[in-house]
Amino acid sequence: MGREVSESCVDSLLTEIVSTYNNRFYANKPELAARRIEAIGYQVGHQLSERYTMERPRFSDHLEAIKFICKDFWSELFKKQIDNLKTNHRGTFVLQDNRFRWLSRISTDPSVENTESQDPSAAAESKASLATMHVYFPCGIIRGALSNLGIPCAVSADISNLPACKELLLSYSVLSFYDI
Amino acid sequence: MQFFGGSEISPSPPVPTASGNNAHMMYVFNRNGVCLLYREWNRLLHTLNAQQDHKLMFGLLFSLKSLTAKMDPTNAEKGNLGVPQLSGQGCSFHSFRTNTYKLSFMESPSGIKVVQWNFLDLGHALPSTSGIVDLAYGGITYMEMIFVSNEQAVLTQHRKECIFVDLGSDFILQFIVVVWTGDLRESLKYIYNLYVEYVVKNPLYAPGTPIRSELFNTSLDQYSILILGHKSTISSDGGLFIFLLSRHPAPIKNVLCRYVLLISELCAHYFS
Repeated sequence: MGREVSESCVDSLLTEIVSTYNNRFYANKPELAARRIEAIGYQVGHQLSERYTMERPRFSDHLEAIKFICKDFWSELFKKQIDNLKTNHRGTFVLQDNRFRWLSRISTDPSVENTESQDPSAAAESKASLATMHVYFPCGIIRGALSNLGIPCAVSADISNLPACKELLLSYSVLSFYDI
Repeated sequence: MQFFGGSEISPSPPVPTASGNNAHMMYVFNRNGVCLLYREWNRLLHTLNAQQDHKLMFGLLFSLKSLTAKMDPTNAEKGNLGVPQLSGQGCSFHSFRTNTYKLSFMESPSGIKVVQWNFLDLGHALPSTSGIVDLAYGGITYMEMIFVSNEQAVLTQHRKECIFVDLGSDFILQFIVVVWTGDLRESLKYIYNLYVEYVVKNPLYAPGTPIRSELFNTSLDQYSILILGHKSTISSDGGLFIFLLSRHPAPIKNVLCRYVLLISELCAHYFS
């Protein structure tokens, strides 16, 4: 694919995007910041899907396109494939990655977790809430890639067990959260 | 082979309250002197409170670095003593050792300083193991070191191994293999890599604040167990020490004559 970029640079850039949008550009407006970050991801996904499908024939149906996302697209971006794909055959897909590369280094204060509560799920939730901003960019990428392949959709992510990450794709339907 | 023979009778060493075995401490500072990480394992004595301890440590490192840079015979131009130097400039010390501990130091170009303290516990090993012997055999009143070796052939998987040989008629030979810490720079570099992986690249970490990262702590713990527990590559800082313990305050020369053969056989067996 021509030129390459160091992975550390990409990691640092992503960290800084989230930090800048949250703290400087749209301070106190996390919704707006999230939407801007997702829009950036949309652009990137759009362009990436053009590159990665250059030599391929057109996809026959939605499932084929989703499978392309799960296998080739994911391995180009994250060097691994999606671990689990579920669908309800009515337009909703759930992609599960058990070790999401961009979130693999997120880690919180262990002493806080010990003192707060004995409930491990509460600790995991607080960790997840800190990390939600970091997940909008990958969601945007997926949305951009799919809409370029002809499938308008909405993408949301569930990170209740870091570093696993579940993305939920809904094609032309109302948003609803799917808790596994 | 060296023999330490002494005619004076050494009094029995006091039984210690706690053993200083395997005490180990680690500090990480950034270039402004903020202590990012402080970990300790089995530390016995806390003389100052935490803040002062960190400040003292940083001051020590700073002074030693500027001192060694100033005394460097190979570098033509040196600043005045006390002028802060860039991280790569001049030479930098990497360890010093006293009779009780060894301090290893590494500084990265970004000014992150990693410090590791290792307590050499030979001096403490002696009383602590004699306490065990006392329990087993009772009434030790005489102890003398009769053999010291610095052979590189003394390689075991364990950091310290202690064997007792009962010679009968109230004499006990005690073999202690102590592995002193060698050059720890590789270990410090590894720890610095862990820092980069789990702290610098953590999106939730604000640079310049103390490290609070679970992933970093667990990986550091795993690595510490690895290097504190088993060390399979040993530098020339190993040693085999043989002590003779006795219930009678008798001079050692008679014993040596009788048992020198046994001792040499045992040494040969151990070294092979």
